[in-house]
Amino acid sequence: MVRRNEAKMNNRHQTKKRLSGLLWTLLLLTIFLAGLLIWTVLNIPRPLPSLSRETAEYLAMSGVNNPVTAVLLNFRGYDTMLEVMVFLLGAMTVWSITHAPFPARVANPSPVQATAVRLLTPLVCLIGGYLIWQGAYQTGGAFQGGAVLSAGVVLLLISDFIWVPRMHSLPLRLGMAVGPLLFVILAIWGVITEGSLLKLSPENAWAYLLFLEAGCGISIGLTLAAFFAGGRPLGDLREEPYKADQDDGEEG
Amino acid sequence: MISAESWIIVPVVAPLSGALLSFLIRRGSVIISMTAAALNGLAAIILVKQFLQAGPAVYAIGGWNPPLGITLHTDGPSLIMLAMTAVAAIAICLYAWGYFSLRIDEPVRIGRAERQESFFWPLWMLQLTALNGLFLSGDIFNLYVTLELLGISAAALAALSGKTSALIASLRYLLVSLLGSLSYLLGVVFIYKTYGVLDLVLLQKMAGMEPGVIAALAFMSVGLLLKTALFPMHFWLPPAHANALAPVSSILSGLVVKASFFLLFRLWFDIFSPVLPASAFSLMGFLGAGAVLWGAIQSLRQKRLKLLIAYSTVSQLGYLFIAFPLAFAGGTSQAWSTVLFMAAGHACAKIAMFMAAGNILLHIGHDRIKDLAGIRAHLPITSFAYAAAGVNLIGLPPSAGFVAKWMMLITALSTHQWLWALVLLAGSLLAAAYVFKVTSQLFVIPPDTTLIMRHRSAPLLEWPALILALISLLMGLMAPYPLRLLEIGVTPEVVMLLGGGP
Amino acid sequence: MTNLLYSFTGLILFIFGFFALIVCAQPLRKILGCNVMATGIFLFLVATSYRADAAAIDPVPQAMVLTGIVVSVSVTAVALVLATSIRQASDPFIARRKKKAKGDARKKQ
Repeated sequence: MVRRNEAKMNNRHQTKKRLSGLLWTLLLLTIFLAGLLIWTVLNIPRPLPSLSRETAEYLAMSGVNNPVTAVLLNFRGYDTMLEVMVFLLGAMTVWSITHAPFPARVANPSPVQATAVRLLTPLVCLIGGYLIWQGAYQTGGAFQGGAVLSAGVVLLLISDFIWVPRMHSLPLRLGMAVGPLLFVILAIWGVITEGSLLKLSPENAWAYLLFLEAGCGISIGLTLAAFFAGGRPLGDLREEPYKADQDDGEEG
Repeated sequence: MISAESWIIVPVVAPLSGALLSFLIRRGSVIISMTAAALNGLAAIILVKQFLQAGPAVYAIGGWNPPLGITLHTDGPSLIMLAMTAVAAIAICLYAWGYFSLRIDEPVRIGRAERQESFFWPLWMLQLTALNGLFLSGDIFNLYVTLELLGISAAALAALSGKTSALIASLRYLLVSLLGSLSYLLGVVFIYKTYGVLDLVLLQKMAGMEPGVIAALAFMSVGLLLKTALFPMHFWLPPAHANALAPVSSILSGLVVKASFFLLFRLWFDIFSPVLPASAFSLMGFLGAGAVLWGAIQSLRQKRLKLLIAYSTVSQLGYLFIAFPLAFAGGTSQAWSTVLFMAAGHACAKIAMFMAAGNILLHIGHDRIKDLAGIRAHLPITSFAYAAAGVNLIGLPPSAGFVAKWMMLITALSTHQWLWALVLLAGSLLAAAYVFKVTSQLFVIPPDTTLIMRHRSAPLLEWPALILALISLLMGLMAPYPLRLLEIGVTPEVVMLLGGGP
Repeated sequence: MTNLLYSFTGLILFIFGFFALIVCAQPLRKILGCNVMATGIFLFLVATSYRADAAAIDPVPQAMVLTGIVVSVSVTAVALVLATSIRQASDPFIARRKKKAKGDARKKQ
């Protein structure tokens, strides 16, 4: 038994020796690439050009006071629309691959944890909502607030609050899709009333953006929690686990 | 009210809403997706008409002009890709509808087929959104977001079948795609650091030889080459395309790889052409030649039909890259027409081939090439579709492949670049060999055992394949029309006030 | 000067992640390598938006970083689920249990 372990260790040592030639070449190439990158950055002419002047010029028309939120949601809102769709796409993909129910494991929390989570959840909702609202004035917005909200949902999930994992598929899907839906509705509304996709009139832009941020915050919170939970929601699972699913013959 | 110029947003917004509604309303996902694909087709027709009347168009989203906002723009090449995608999308929707209805009718494994179908439609609609968004976009960071959307939805579709081999291939595809996207993003950052704008039209005016631009172009090109599976970075393509479900293989091989190639071509020939040296074009040509020969040789060695078709994709993509050095010598507008003919013809033919292979797999349960003899009696339309698509791959007249290869051959011979001419001819010979390998089984060799068919043949599965194959076969006869689109204008010439205001 | 430090750190993180992606064999390490690469690019981007004058900070790279982070989270989640499914599918313990379940089902018929 000891001799077999020794033989295994020797084998591993030899394998390491054989590969290290390739590793050294890759390492040298990577260091060379790093050097090239650093040289390029050093040679970029300074001062760097920027778009801050244009942003400041049109900030008043965008409906928010924070330039980053203005760029993200108003000037380049098309990018953000596609990006929330990427987020929803991630959730769709996770659901399409897994076979397990939602969530896959059940926790066994202590009463300390249960009480702490009960006290924390309203606080999390408050902080998340405040971050979403604050995005118009300082750093904040839908993504940051949504991340805090998702942390709250994850806390609920791991503390065995039964109604959370038993959530049915349609309300969960509606919650996850409310952000992208609001975006698309706002986009088409912009075409109908103002003539351009996602065009928001300067007087009402603050209301539209607040609505949009709230919807996106809820969506992001639920989607991130769905990523954490894995599996598929109740009512979606038509096939039982461990049914010969992966070891079949040819198909498609 | 809604003006006529708003049709440019329909190819992006219609599939996007279709994806959202299919995700929410599972029962109506087929009808919703078909409506979205039909709207997409209508928009493509209207956009082409508008282009023929008014020329290239620029649409500022939200009313914000560059450099502050994002623009969508139409010109000849992007409209041809848009039209090709629209036609292919309608065919794929019909095929997928037939495919999943047939699978769900099976008494075995019903849960799995229903899961696949319920997720296929939203994922496919998002894929279509990403493709259209990529063809229409005029902003390099927006192109990054569409590239990511494209990559993730493609990996998700590839993993849909649930088999272990499909999951492994999908993970590899996802990681390679992510590496490509991150490399592209690094290029975008370098460009922003150097010029401070993200708009393609503004960049074209500003581009010059600077260290930041050279680094940016190198990173963006490597990223896009990884996504287009150019030899030697093609290792992820055959397993991903071969192990996927039949409609998914068609989408991946026909449309997804063309999108990143289109972007690469646009970057090299439209935006950054003064920056690139001649040796870069020759390098692309050499890699393309390697792809043509290596892909074709590997194709000949395969025993499974879908792997053969997947390696054939690797080989045919090589032709698109041989066009680089030829275009450098010959001129930009001819380069576009060659490459677009090749891409559009190959897309229709490859989609038809994968549909045919999917039919065969569905009906007899396996796709071993040596056991395919006699299937012509049961699936005549499918066999004919496969053979017609094969004609396009070889490059016989009057197919689109013939037109493209003929233009490339003429350019190569007139500029005395004999190497590319040799590679083109050798590639066509090898393509003939691997096409005949399968069609001889389908048509020539008499069957010795009777095949057991699992289902009756369904028209929805066979006719889209046939129609697409015939389109690719006869595209050479329709050649003047796309060429006219390209003559009108390759890049938009719109005078824009620099300042970003509405 | 501090700005250059952030840029270099971002680029070096990119290189670290790239090396890990190429060299490591296990899927989880590759996914983590991709994450580190993405983080490096985001740091590089944030360094681009720095200006000495606080009023003139460039907001566009920050918006790009936000978009990039969301996309990166999405891709990481998908890759992790894929890796877990592959692990489960090729786990010999689960395969044995599956075979037993199939055998029981067949015996019942």
